Amino acid sequence: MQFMLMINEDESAYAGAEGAALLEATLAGHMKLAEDLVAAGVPFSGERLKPAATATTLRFDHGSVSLHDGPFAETHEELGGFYIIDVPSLDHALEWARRIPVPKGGIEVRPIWPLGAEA
Amino acid sequence: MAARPRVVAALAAQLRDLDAAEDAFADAAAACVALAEAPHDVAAWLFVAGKRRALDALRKRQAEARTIDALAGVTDMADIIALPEPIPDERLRLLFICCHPALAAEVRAPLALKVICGLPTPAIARLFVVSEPTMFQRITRAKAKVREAGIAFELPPRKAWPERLEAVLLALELAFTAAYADAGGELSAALEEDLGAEVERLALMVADLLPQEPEALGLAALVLLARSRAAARLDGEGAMVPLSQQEVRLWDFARIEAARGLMDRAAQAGRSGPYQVMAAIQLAHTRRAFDGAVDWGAVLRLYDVLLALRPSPMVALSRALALAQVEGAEAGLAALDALPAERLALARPFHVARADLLAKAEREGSAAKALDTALMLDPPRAERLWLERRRAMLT
Repeated sequence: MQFMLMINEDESAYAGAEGAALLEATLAGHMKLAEDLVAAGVPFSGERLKPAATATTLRFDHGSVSLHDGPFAETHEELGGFYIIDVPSLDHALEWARRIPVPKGGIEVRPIWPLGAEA
Repeated sequence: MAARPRVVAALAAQLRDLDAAEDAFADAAAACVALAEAPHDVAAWLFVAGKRRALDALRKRQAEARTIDALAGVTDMADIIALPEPIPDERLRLLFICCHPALAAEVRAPLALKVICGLPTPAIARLFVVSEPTMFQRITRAKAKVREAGIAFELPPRKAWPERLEAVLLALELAFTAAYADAGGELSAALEEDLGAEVERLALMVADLLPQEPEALGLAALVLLARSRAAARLDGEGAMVPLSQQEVRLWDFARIEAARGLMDRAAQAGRSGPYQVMAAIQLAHTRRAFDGAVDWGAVLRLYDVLLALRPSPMVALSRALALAQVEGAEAGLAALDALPAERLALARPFHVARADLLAKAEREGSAAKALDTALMLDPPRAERLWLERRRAMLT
């Protein structure tokens, strides 16, 4: 089954000269992870997102829509990217999520609603 | 029913659905009771009958074709009975599912008691002191999460066991603490279930399934030791009898011996842990039956270790009582005064311990006040009777 691994991390960790080095190391970690997923034959996709400051949010309220600058939720940890992987179970998904390089933050793991499945 | 954990676990592993496994077991158990003659192998009969019923139900609902395919291979009872080991032992698998870290910590023990032991939801609700609808909702949600979140019906890989085992043992500890608090057996009597016995069965099952995990053995020993005193915990009037005043001839020495055996095997692994230390403390108390006295110096050292492994105000409280035995009531009181009094303001054991040490230090007025506070904190009947008796002696 498919799982989405949502990476929520503290963007400020990547600020400044030290942050740049940290970012480089983290990106290298993602490259390595992608290689490992390929080697393990796990079907996957994933993207890195631009910083939360670039986000625009639409808010819906029963017919009316309003636009807001900034991300959906104001938190210290922003959605920074995601993977979608196809593995047999939650435990497998958690095992892969554990290997995602995150200096500080959290990863939310959620099953993807299968196409055609009943509500 | 003793066969339940094994049969439900095997059904769950095949059906990959907790509700379906429970329903199938219930149907099979009802059919079994109605038989004119008990089957030769009850567990195997229940397993096969349960599987057939689940299969029928699935067909009726035209559910997922692949699940039916998976089951279709084994439907003939003769096939199953002929096998030397008719029911695969899936209990560990089921336990790991019920205690999966993806489930809220508070629901793991209830779910295990419900699915594995078959305790009715009202019993579990009372055991964990929540309302019935709340517990029903928690268990329903947890089952839905198992189904929807993709929690595997496979054993987790070996390297994930320590982390997962921790969740299992914690769930058991919570269940045990709740069952043990029911000293007077009011809860068990009201529900016609021996809750402590069910928890003990689960703890022994885990120790049996994971003999190489010293903490699993330690927890089973701890439960056995606590249960060995069941007959000595109340006096003729139903009042609680504290451990130090229990009549040792009422202790169950078969359980004590079994616990000692488990602890010896745990020690061979050379990896200590909180449950082994807690069991060692309980075992130290049983020395009174053999040597006539407890080695309080040893108990104090064990509490020092436990405090380092699992620091908590309640452990510190027990340590203070042991310290009082070694160095005197004033030393114990000083240790109690160092505890975070605000956090313990509503903790009955804190006030009971203070009362105990204050009385020993001949500060009767303060002791009486501490007992009054404890009595206001809604003790269960057995403890209330005991506290009232002590209170009466102080005036």
